[in-house]
Amino acid sequence: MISYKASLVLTVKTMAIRRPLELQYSEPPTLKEAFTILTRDQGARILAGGTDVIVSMREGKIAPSHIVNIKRISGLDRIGPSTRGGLSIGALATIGSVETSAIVRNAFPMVAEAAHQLGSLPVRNRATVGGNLCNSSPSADMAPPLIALGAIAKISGPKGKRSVKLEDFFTGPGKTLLSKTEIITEIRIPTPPKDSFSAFLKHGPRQCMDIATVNAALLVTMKGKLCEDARIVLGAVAPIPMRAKKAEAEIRGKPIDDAAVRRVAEIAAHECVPISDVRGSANYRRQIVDVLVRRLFGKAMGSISSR
Amino acid sequence: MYIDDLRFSDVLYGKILRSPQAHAKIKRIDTSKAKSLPGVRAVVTGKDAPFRGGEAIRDQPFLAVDKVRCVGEVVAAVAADTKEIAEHAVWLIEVEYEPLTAILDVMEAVKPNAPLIHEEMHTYAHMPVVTVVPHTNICSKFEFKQGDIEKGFRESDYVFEDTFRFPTGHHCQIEPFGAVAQVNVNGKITVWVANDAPHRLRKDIADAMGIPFENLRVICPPFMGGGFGGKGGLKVETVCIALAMHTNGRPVKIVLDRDEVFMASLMKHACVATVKTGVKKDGTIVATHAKMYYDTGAYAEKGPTVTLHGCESGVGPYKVPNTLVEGYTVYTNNPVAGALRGYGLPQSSWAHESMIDMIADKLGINQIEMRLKNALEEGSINPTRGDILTSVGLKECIRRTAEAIEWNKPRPPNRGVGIACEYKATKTPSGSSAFVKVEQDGSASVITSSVEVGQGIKTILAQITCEELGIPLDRVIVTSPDTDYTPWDASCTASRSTFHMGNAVRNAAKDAKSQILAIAGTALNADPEDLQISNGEIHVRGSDKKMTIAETIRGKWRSGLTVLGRGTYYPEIQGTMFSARSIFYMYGAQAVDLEVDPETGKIKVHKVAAAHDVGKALNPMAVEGQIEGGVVQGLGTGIFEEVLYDDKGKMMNPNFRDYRIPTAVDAPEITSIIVEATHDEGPFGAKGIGEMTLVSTPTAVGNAIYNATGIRLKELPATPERLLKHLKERTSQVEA
Amino acid sequence: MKFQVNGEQRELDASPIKSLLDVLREDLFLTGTKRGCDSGECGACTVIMNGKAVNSCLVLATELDGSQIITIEGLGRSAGDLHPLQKAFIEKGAVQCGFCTPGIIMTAKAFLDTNPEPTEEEVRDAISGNLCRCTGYTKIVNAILTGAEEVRRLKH
Repeated sequence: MISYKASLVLTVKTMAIRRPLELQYSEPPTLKEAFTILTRDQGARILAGGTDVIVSMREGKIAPSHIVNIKRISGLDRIGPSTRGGLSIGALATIGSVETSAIVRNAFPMVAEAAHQLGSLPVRNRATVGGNLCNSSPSADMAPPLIALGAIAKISGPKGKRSVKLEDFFTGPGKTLLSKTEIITEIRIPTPPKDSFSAFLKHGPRQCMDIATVNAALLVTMKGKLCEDARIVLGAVAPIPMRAKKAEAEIRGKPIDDAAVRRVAEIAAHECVPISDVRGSANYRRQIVDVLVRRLFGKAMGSISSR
Repeated sequence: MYIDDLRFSDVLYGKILRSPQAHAKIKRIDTSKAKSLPGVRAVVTGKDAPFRGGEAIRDQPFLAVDKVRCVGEVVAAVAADTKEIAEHAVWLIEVEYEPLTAILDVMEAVKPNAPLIHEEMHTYAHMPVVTVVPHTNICSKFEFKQGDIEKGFRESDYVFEDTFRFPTGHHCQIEPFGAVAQVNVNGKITVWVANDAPHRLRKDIADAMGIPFENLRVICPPFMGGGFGGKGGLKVETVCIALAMHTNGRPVKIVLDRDEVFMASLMKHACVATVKTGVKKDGTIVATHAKMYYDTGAYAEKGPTVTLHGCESGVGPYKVPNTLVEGYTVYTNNPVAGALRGYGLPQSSWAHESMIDMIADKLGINQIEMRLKNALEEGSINPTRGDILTSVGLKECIRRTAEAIEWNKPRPPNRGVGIACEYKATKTPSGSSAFVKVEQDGSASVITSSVEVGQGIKTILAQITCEELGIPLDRVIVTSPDTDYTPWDASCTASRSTFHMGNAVRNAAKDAKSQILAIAGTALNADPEDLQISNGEIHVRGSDKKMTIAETIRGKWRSGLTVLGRGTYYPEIQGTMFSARSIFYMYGAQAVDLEVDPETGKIKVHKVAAAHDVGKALNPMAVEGQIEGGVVQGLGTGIFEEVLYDDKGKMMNPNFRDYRIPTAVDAPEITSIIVEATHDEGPFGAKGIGEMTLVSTPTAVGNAIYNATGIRLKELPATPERLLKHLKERTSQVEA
Repeated sequence: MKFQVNGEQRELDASPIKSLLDVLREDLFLTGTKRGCDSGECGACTVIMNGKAVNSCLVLATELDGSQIITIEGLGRSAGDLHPLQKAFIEKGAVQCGFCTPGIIMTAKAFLDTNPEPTEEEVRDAISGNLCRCTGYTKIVNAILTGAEEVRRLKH
């Protein structure tokens, strides 16, 4: 639109307040105390790394009256083997610690890779895995690889604990299935089956620092020459990080060849439901999904031929 | 020390209420709730400071008066004890707007019967070079003509014509805009501001307020965190002054938030340029007609002279006997556009340097050869102004750039190199004055109004002083501008400082030196002509008699004195500012080697080679720094940076997340080449560099994309989405 | 809040509406750390907190208890006392307007503490969150590699 006219008279207040005149602040040392505060105070908001919450406050998108810093709660930042098998990543583990953890890089390289591509070095030193997931941006970088790996989110609340598949954790842009008083405490990544290969790709205009126009992760499990299972997860092309289930169904039980990968990619591109926004049009995003899915297979399977 | 580092004991913090409308009448403003918030010390609107300023055209109110002309325009402002209170008070101000038709595209603004954005434009005072077109949105028009354009086209074997669009963009100085203003009990106004031309600013504000110069003092902090032309003209300091007039002597400080910097400080001119070029079969250019519309937004700011410079270089650095360049500076309801490094040339270059490649392609001539064949040389006639050009290093720039980028090396599919070259004037005539004072301990101070914006001018002036005076570099200091003490300098813009202030400082140093040598000559019983100074010591040629500068001064004046040297430089050229042929021209060529991912449209730049004729490189490392910085800024303009507006004229990406500037990983290997076609009148032969380094890069990117993929872009930036769209369209055309 | 800045013990009544950046600049008068965007996007405010480079604009003032902060002033304050990185930035012409410089140097220092012998690519990647508009990064990268070499040399 190059010119427009409206004829009403508007009474306008300016942009939202970004610097509150006052703000309550708590640093509960235990989960129990955190729950007490969250239960009591409707305007309370959890603060982990602050790299999303503080930015949102500065931009006037949220206006909590009470900040609850949970970083003093011990035991929530551990990265190590889970007692139930696989890997446990504490919700308060920083993205930087995930990126540099030897155990993550060896066992789940695409998780380390996604962590490396998130933000910048100073941001990664504060941002947490739990925070990235709870912020629930459709383009969250940690979500696709963790969902592809079948991660489980462990949640604690005043009424007790529960576990959910990470895949079910997100309910909409900025929304999760957590109640106001619950806190995610841990991500458990089960050990992938034998003969599994993975890849993560992120697309943006620059070489780094971008919020993804599209990001995607793949976990492929082979049985001989056939694909036994494929989990394709796409980000920034739906209200939540989504599994391209139709695309997955197309390759399951089949050999992975160029023609098959092309078909899978095409189905994924049609399956996703992107919107047009400042980072790209819906049409462009679909095209990129097609390209990324093809390249994910190339990247994952490339790790077969390198054996 | 930058503007936000300055400390004032009783400072108040200011915050601005900005228009959400692109074009609207202000019906009513209610500031009562804001005024009664505890901690609020002043609230002002347009009627509290009814002044209009603007160097080119006096069209810009300190605060909007009866209407707003762009999203983000200043409507009201608050000064309060803390930033938080100021922000809350702003939130409490209520404004009633009656929206008017908003014009958000420059070509809409020039249509007959387009709504007028400045109805009273014909009453505004303006610079002599500005030619207003009354009762339109064209606030200035310019024309350059040589030869006979119609005859030229008749004599051409081929005539090509095309239209190119250059986008708006932002300077993205890492330091946000800021200022402090204070009004004394005696009415004198002091302004601390990071501004690239303190004397110009003083004049502009004094003229706007109708006060004499001595009632206004402009002080620049020692350092400015990047300018690129954006921190000139009237920015936040006028709002600070308006508030400070109502705070009983307490200083008022405003530092903009980053989104305000994006939305409401200064943009680069978007431009629609049509170029029509006539050539002979062998590639000789015979005639060029360029017509350019520069979108200057709600207020003119430097728009007219930006347009003028763009026109001046509008046909490119080529020997063209028949030319007609028409430029229009047009008001729209977009945010204000003004000076950005290159000053109108990136826009005109995008048109003519793309066109040259298109012509070369059609004629089957090599793109380097096409340029060399037509390139300006020593003694050529300026194709726009008609003056005779000297100190012309263009061909060497083109050749060395082509060599450095390995132009002829075969490259794989989707990888290509592109080149663009240019010449640029500096603003002429303009003047600079300086003092060099030499103290009785042999140290020196350079008293200058040149502003250190990061270009290294303090270093250059110190070097010139030391070279001329014969003292070591660590015994010189260079002042920061303070209009009460440091003498007139036109501005630190137009790449003019090394030449103009350099000459002024050199003259001042020479003056100080001759005074010192006169005294030393008497003391040493020698002819001053036989004396030389090196390392602070005065030697008599052919003898071992010597004395230090300190001894010389102390010897003459036993209870102490300062030797004061004064220097001025104003070119011997008649006419008002910007009206004359340039005192020097800068030449340059840049080539980009890039690769396009054909499936995503994403570009990776492998290397850039850039050769610039600087006359003489007084500090080669600093020149390289200018080249490297300008190139990366230019890559940002060419590839990543896009201002996205909603349909109401509001910027949707006013942050570094979504207005993407190159990071260290995006910046490629850069080969900087210094070419020296010395200038007789420049200090030690030097000319200038600052702006040229950004001018050709976006177009070199466009030309490289063509050579890599066959896609000819007519608009920028070459984002992955835009490029992929063209790639796909071409594929489907081929298949069809 | 009780915390350490550049080796000095400090005590402050902190408010959650302020950030570490506000505390450094306004309460402690350490203006070397700069405010560029207040959103963690430009890196001008980078300091080292408990050994790691962080954007001080995104750390609340109330989170500081028990922390150790190093700012650019803590690296070297005077001509005789500069850190090899600061010296290298001056010698290699890596400073133009200087506004991004403190943030980049702090990121580089923290990075070199974990990776003392980086490649050029690794350096560029490490400072990718520190935006510079003046230099085009070439001389900055050179300066960091030179500084790294000098740090290694001094350790032996």
